[in-house]
Amino acid sequence: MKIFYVYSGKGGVGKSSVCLNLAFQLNKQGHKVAVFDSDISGPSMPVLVKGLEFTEQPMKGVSIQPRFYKGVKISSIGFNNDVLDSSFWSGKYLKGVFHQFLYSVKFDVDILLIDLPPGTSEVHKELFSNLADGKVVVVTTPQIVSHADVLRSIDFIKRLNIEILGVVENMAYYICEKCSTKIKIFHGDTKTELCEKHDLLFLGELPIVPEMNKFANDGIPYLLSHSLTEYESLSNNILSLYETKKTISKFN
Amino acid sequence: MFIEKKSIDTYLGLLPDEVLDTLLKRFGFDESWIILPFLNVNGKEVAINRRSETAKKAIILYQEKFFILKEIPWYCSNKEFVQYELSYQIELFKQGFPIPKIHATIEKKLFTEFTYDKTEKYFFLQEFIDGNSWDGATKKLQNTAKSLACLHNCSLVNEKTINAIIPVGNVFYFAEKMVTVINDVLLDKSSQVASSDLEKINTFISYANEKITKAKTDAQKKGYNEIAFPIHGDFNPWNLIYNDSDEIIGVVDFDNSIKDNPVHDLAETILDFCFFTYRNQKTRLSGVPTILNEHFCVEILQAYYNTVDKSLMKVIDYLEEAALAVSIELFSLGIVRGDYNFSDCNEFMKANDKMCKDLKILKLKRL
Repeated sequence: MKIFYVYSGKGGVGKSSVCLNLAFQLNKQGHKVAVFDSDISGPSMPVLVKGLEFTEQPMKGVSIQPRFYKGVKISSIGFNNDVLDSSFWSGKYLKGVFHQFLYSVKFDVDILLIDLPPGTSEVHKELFSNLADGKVVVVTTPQIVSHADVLRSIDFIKRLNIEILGVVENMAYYICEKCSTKIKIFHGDTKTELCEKHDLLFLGELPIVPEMNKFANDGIPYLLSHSLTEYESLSNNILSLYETKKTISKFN
Repeated sequence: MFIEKKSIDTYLGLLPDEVLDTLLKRFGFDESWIILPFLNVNGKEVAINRRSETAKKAIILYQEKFFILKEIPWYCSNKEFVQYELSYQIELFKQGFPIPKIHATIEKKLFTEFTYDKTEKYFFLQEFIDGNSWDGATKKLQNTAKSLACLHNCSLVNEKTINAIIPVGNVFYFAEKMVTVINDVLLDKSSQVASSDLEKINTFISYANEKITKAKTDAQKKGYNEIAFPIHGDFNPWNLIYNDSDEIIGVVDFDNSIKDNPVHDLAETILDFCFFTYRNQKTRLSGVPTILNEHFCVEILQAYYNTVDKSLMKVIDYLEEAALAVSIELFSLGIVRGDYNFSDCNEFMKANDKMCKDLKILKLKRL
C-alpha cells in the first residue's frame, strides 16, 4: 500500500479539498483508494462529503472501519462525533485514536491518502514516527506568506526523516470562462520562489474552479463527476515519483 | 456515600497519561500497553469520555487482552466504600454471577490510591468484556430482569462473606438528597433564572419532598425496612453487557451499591428501561419521560418475579413507592446536570404521577 501524506504549512490552502479530489482522481484511474482524515480536532472530510451517499461498516472489535463513498474509503473521527461535541486527544490517547482508526484497520487498498492537519503538531510526530514509509505532498498557495510556513514545516518533516515528494500549488490561477485567459488571483510563484530555491520538486499547479467551491459547499467532491487535467497530471506525477524514490532509497 | 457538587474536570473525563503510566505499573504492566479511547457500542464507536461522564475509565489493550482501569467517582471516593464495592463484586464472581474479573496489584491489593489534581483518588483494574449494549430487544429485557433476580438471590446469602463495612441507605434518602442538590444549583444560578422557571422548580421541590415523604411512609408500612442486603444500586442499560444471544455476560459499575431493599434495584431497572430515555449511546438523559412502556415493564416484572427467591417476592408490594422515589431522583439528577430545564418540571410531575398509577395497575394485573 502506498501512503501519501497531504500536508500544508498553514490552514486555508485547500489541502483537504485537494486530498479528497486527488483520491477520487486516483480512483477513476483504477486504483483502490482510502483517505484518512488525521485532523483530530478539526476534521474536514465529513463536511466535504456530506452530500454523498455512503455505506457504513460496523466496528470490527476495536478497529473503527472507514465508510465507503462512491468507491473511495474515508475514515474520519468526525463521522460519528455529535456535531456539537469537541474532540481533544493527546499523548497516549492520540496514539490510541490512531490505533483504532488507522493502525489496526485493514483498509485493503492500493493507496492511502492521509490528510494531515496544517502546521506541526503531535499528530504529525505520531504519524511520521509510525508510518515512516509515507511520502509527503505539500500543498501551498502562491503567496510568500504560505511559502514561509511551508519552509518551516519542511524542516520539521526532514528532521523526522520523511520523504517529501514535492510541492503542488493550489489556487494557482483562474481561467476566465469568457476569454480563457489564465488569471493569477494570488501573486507569487511557487516553482521559482519556493521549489527551485530550496531544492524541492514542483508537482504542478491546481486552478481555482468556482464551481468546485459550490460542490464543496454541497459536500460533493468535484472530481467525482468532472475531470481536470491538472489533477490527472498531479496523480500521475506522484505515482511515478513514489516508485522512483522507492527505487532510489532501496539502493542508497 | 454522599452527594456533593462536582468540581470542574480539566482532564475532560479522561485519566491523564502520567496517572495511567504510574497505575498500570502497579498492576504489573510494562510500557507496551495501548489505550483505546473509543468503545464499540453495538458496532458504533463512542468516545469513552462521552459514554459516561461520571466515572473516569480507560480501556487498555495489553498483551492481546483487554482491561478497564477505573477511577472511583468523586461521590463515593473513600477507602471503606471502595473496599466494600470490590469485595462485593468478588463474592458475586465466586458465586458464578457474571462480574468481570478484578485484577489485584503486584502487592495483591484490590485497589490502589493516587493523588492528582490535589485529591486522593482510588483505582482498580478489571477485565474488559467486549459485548453488545441494550438495543430494545425483548430477550435482552427478559435476561436483564432474570439477571437482576439472580444478583439478588446471590446477595441474599453473601452479606456475611463480604470483607468490608457495608454502607447502608434507602431509596427515599437518595431521592431526598438529590432534590436538595437542586437547591445548590438554584443558588448558583438564581440571577440567571427567569421568575416563571423559579416558580416551577420551587413547585417541583415541594412536590418531590411531599411525595417522597408519603412514599417512604407507605413503603415502610408495607414492610420496606424488613428486607435489606447489598444491592447493585444502578442496574441500568449502560452497566450491562450482552452477548450475541442477548444473554448478560457482564454486570459492571457498583459505585452506587449499598445495603438496601432490593426493590430499589427493581424500580431503577424498570424506570431506566421503561420510562426514562437516554441520548444516543450516552448516559445523559434525553427528553422528559412521558409514559411508562407497559410491554417492557411487564417483561421485566414477570421475568424478575419468576426468577427471584420466594422470600423476595413481597418487594413487589411497595414497588410503586420505590419507583416514585427513583423517578424523582433521576429527574432531579437531570436538572442538576442540565439534561432537563426548569421549565420541564410541570410536564415531569404529571408524567410521574401517571407512571406510578400505571405501574400499580400493571403489577396487580400481571402478577
